[in-house]
Amino acid sequence: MEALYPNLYSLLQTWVPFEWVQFAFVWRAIGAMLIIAPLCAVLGVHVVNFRMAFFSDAISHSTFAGVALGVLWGVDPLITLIGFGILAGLSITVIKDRSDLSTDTVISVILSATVALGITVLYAQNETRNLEVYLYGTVLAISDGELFLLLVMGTFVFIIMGFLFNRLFLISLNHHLAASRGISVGVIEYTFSIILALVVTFSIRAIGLFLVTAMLVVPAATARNLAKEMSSLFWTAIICGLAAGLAGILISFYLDTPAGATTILIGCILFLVSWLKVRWLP
Amino acid sequence: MNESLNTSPETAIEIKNLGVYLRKVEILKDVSCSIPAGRTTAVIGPNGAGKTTLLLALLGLIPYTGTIQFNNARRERPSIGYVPQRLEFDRGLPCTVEDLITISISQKALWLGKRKKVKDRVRASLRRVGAFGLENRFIGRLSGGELQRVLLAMALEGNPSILLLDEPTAGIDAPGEQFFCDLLSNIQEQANLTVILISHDLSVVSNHAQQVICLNKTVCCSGGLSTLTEENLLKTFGLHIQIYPHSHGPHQSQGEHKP
Repeated sequence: MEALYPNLYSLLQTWVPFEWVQFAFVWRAIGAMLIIAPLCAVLGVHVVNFRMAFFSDAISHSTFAGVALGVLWGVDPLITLIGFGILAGLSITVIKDRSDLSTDTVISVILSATVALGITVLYAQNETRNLEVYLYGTVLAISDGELFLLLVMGTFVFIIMGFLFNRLFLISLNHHLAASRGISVGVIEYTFSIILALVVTFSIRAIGLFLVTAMLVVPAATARNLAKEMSSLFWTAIICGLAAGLAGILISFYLDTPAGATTILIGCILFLVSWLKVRWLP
Repeated sequence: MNESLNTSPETAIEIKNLGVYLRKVEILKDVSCSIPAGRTTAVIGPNGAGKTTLLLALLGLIPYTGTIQFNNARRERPSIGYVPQRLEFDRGLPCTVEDLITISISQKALWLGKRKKVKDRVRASLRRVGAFGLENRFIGRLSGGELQRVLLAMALEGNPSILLLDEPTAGIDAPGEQFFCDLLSNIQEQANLTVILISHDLSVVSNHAQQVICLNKTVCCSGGLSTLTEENLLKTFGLHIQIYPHSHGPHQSQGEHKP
């Protein structure tokens, strides 16, 4: 499969008349963004409905401990990062369901514990050199193997989210109403937590753990300002995510800025425009 | 479940010694009452009395002790329509009435578009509750009465034999309340529905219900509207509830002793 990539890149380079087309790493970054941006936008629609932005922040920050433990155990930090993200997501969901504490308190405790663990371990190991890769993301350094993994994960998640969309939406409106209509609320909530953790952790490589939540929330928030129904909310969020992602990569190529942060900045500008449209052109 | 309960043909639901604990807190204790078929039963009681919990137990959404027996051929929980007290959404959510009813009809993701058959069914559903023409409005832009009618339309999808409504007239003005209650009565007669509604509003209860259950952790009293005596209301809503036998109301419950 990966042997096909060089042929594909050379084909694309003959079609598109710009300087950046000569570089395979830009094509890889664009390929990654074509998967990550729609995925984040699709999940973001539900994250905004469920008010789960802080939950997503906790998952992304908890991966700090995943990276640290990967370094400590001599395992590829990308593997421990994904495992730790999913573990943090499940822990929050389990504790939230079994305690009388408010959700944001539970999330805050898990977030603090994992970040503190990450910092302690990393500094004890004197391993703070390559942290920027995880903190700010490097979509322009994604490998063919990672791109392939993203494609497999993205297809899998997109299909599941197609099945769950209506059910998740009804649960977000009233979970008793959803349960009364035969929806397995608990199973679907746990499934969504795992999928969200998976997408957040996979996206950290490209966007960075500081800003990955914005990749979920900002396109969905922009689409809320523009959409006329739920179907257009979904598609507008994807278009906004893709527009910001692709523009972010190209601008970062020419101006030498970090691609993840540039993407989010453009996403926020789109949000501002959509907000002004609602404010002044109701 | 005790299958040997003796239910009369007019009884839709027979509740015996129902108890509910949530997170180790006793919410309902020794609740016993019967719900007549094809009529409206109002559940009244102060905040925290366990009214919503009773509805959730009837829906089978929470664990409970005791028995809830449905009087149908299979003795199984029938199709139940549920109108919740409120929906959790912010006013900016671009969800139309058509979107909302579609998710209770079709499992096909909304972003894949809606078939004409589904759209026609949504319109028919809205016409039934006097909400035709609302299909393209955002749910955040509806009045309290309009949203209640839309939620009623959702609950009626799937032709339930029992309808549960949690505070259906809360947040609706007086004319809207009258309209909603009349609508509910018409639909109930047409479909021979058993309706159970929670209400704080005693005028709604006395005008639209035929049966009352006064609930405060347990059943304080139940029966026809004549049960709503000053003494029983004081017992249900009062701060200092005394243990004493009384002779009001046609159906005295066993669970009327308050701790």
